[in-house]
Amino acid sequence: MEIFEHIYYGFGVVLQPANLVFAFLGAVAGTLVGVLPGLGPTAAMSMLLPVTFGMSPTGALIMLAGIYYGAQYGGSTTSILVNIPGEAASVVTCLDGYQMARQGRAGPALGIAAFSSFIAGTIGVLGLSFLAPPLVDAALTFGPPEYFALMCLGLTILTFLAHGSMLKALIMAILGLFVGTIGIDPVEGAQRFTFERPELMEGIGLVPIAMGMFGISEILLNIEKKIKINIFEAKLKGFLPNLQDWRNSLGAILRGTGIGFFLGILPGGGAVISSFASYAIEKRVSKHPEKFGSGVIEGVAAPEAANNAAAQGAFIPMMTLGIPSNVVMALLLGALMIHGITPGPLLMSQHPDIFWGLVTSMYLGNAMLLILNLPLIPLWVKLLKVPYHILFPFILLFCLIGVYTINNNVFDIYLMILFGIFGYVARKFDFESAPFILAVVLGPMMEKALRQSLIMSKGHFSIFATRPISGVIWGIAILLLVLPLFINVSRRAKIVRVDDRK
Amino acid sequence: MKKADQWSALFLVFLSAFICWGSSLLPYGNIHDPGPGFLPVWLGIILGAMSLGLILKTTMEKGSRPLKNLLEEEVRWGRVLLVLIALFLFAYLLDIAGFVITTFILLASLLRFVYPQPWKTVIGWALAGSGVSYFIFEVWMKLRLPKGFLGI
Repeated sequence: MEIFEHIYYGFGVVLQPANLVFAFLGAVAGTLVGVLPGLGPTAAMSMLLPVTFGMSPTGALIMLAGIYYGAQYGGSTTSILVNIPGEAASVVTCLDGYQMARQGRAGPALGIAAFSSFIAGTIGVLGLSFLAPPLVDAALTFGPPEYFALMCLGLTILTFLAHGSMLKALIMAILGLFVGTIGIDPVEGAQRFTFERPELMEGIGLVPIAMGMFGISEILLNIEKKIKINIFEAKLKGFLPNLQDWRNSLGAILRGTGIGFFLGILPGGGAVISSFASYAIEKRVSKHPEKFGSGVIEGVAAPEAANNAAAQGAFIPMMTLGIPSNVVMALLLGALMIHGITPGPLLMSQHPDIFWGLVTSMYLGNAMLLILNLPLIPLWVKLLKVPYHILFPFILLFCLIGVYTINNNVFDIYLMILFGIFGYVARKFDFESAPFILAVVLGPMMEKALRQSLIMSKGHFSIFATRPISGVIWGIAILLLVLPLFINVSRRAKIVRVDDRK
Repeated sequence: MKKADQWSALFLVFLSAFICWGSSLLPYGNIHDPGPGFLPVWLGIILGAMSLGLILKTTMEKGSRPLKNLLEEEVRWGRVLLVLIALFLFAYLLDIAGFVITTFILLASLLRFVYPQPWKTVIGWALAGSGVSYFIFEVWMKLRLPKGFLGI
């Protein structure tokens, strides 16, 4: 079968020593980021983006992807031992994981978290390998109207699933689209909102925005209040779950994988939502739902499987359509574009080394993480004890060096600080950063697709409705926009309100 | 105008007015062939409409958070301000004083003033931080960092 030839080719790429090292570094950095509270995968990826500029595009993507799925692994450690999720997708793991730790079962909880992450991650990668090629064939028939509709749907879903007010999320998306228009107009070459500053001619780079809004603003939010971490001091032993644990968890792992993978593919979906959804479904199908929250192993296995499968599923729209389904994928897309590569249906045929190299790096990355996670847990626990007042100046320094070295220009530092202040104030007023960043990345592509569509249709907006695929996508987007007017969304908001609270 | 969201929405109304004004200076084109001003002007209009909608929604909503609550939250504003001053100072001094000195000043000021540490700890971490980062980024990774008046 052709698919196996592709996978074989991918292994040839990833087994090159440099790429193996990048996969390893990414997995370790991701686990570290996942472990440390107050530093999410998005912040870490934006901080490490400049480091990848000197690498090959394949190496850069392999490392950044490693950070992403590594963070899903690492996040479980802090959830279980400290009751503080290292990153948002591990919030649910706290519920039963911490209770298991309190009952002296921290080892099996950490063990099942690592194993379910590994199983889900591996199944997710298999799904990605098999689903991507047919999707690419379908995407080759897409024209500018379909792309414009898909990008609008992505932004709509992201705002629909926003933590709080959908109106505020939409405002942030519009602001992001506006920031995306700054610079020289791609069609006519006119300067837009550049204030005659040469640094703004090529637009505002993704790195100062992402580092400011996720790195700097997160630190400002952390230092404004006191962070106190109580680490569970019980001796950690016996990471291997027993037979009964496996019996209880296997169904949960498989269900979590399915849910996570499916939700990960959807634009706007992702690891956070899928972990909550899988926990809710597991509770519903359980014979003893009343025990959830008191330390049942399924309550750890399902969300951990779901968030890892979602991390793999999210690569599908980005790699096949060139449309990021969440903010992490937007950063990966930005990284590829910085290397002069536009993801989309042609990526697989034009750059098979990047596509299949990345896919197979995830097989290896998942195995590395399993090997890494279990023996290194005591080390991660020690790291948790590094006081934040020592840690944060170095995180800031890393941001500053990273952003400066992109263009060797102090202007980028000022931009990062300004976006940091903007992100901080926005979060104080409950405006989310994710729709803003996604819109900044999608903005130029959306504008191009819109203008091309209007030129194609000689100015008739009906082109978006009369083409079947575009029409259906717009139908879904409009439905999602109108839906909140008719239903009470407060329960949904409560479920997903996790990320910015960290 | 006592609610937090009324103030944020009001700011956004002004911002949308600015976007519309700035976009109006650019060629709009026409619907058959949109110009560079087409998208920004519509984004400005939509932003303005949404912001007015937010003002209206907040005014009518009973449970909306008052601005006073936001300002009176238990927040250490001093720390936030100190970090921002240190960051701006870093950006300002980087080309003048060079990477090593600026990094030392940044780390020392953050360690000493944000969560006050003993001078011994401050100097130790700041020296180690600026030295190790210089070695990693300048010597090992060969990134071009500013030298400043001392040449380091």
